[in-house]
Amino acid sequence: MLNSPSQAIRSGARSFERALFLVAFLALAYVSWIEFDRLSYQRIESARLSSVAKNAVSQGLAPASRKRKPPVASEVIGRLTIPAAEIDAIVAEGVDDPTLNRAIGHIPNTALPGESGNVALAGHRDTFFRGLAKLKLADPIQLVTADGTYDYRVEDLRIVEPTEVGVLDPGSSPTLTLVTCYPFHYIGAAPQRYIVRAREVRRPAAVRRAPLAPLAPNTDLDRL
Amino acid sequence: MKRISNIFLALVLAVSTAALAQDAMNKTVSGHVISSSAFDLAIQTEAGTRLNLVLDSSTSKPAVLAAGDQVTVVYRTLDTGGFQAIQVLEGNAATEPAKAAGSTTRTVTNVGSPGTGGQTGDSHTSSVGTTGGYQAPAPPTRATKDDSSMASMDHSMADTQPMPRTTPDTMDHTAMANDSMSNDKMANDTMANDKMASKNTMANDASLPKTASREPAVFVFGLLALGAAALLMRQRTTH
Repeated sequence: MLNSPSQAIRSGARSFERALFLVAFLALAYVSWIEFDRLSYQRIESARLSSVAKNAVSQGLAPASRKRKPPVASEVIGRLTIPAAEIDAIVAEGVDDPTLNRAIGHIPNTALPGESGNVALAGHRDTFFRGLAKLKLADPIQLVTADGTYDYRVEDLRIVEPTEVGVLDPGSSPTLTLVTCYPFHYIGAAPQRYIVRAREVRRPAAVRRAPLAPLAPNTDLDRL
Repeated sequence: MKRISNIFLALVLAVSTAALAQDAMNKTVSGHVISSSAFDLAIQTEAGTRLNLVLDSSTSKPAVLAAGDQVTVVYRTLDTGGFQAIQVLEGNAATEPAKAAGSTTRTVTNVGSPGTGGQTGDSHTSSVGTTGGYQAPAPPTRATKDDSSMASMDHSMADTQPMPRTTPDTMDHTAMANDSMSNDKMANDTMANDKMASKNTMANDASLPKTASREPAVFVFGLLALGAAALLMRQRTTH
């Protein structure tokens, strides 16, 4: 039982203070967990991707000889490396929250590396794609997959409205499009999108020799 | 004071719960299967509209889904504007058919998606717009075309789309193809009507992926809470 109004105020302040500490702890723990999860995922999947690529080379499997299957959600597609933007991160299938928290996402139904068309990737502007702002025209981009390394050169940088989805349309030559939110320094859902378009300049020798066959419809879902 | 702090705490919890629950909202719809594959499912809802859904390895579904089967689908909306099926149940178990029918203006996205062109009509029950390629929903690119062109595209596809896997060397096959084509036309007429009716809604729904994470906002919120708590503690201990 509280004896005076001042005691009641003090008690209330203490409760409020505890509640704030609890909220702060939960918020910071959440952020720490997401960060830890992301780093772990990146490390593990990078190692796995390297291992798969080495096995493919050692077994002499040309990409065309492998059975191509559509990627399932969150399946690793490759690793994106952009030295000028200090980006080196795993690319996984899908643009849902869990995938984008852990990796750069491949926008579903756009081309895959090795196919003709536009390979479209999306990433959080405050994590993987933070460095995109530093990118300039003609900067190199590499997409490392199990088939080998695809080289691209930046040929267009632009800011568009979120509804301008024409940037995902395939062009006349194989391209790579990176999508992130704009402005970069903005908390919450940013109003615009930053688009980096790059043209493919070199693809793995094995893919050049034996272009990948188009995906067969309704293939089973087992992984590569 | 205690009351105020309780109200504040309740507000904080309510706001964070609402934010977290926003993405977890699932909808239910029931209807008849138009076509299905390992990666997608097209159904005709009870409201008469077509709904294209993406299936993946996490989707719970019956082993066989034949055209015409009555199903109830629990699904969620993807950031890309498509729909992912979470659970497919046989029979009509929908609890919110009216609510689901209310989403008909957002249904049509999977027409001629890039990377899957020429892969339609995988079985005789498939219809135009059924993609046989990637598991994911069609990108918003197609949904943002001018609606009149979309409508005309659908009609032209319905009129000219061949049945690639149908071999007209027997009467049975030919009959199946004819039935299928007329069904396809009906389905596409419905699709075109839906698109024209939902002109504005579709334009609003088609957008590039959202690439803002919650982390910075949560981090700033946590820091503010920590700062406020530290300030309060200092005030309390100094007085």
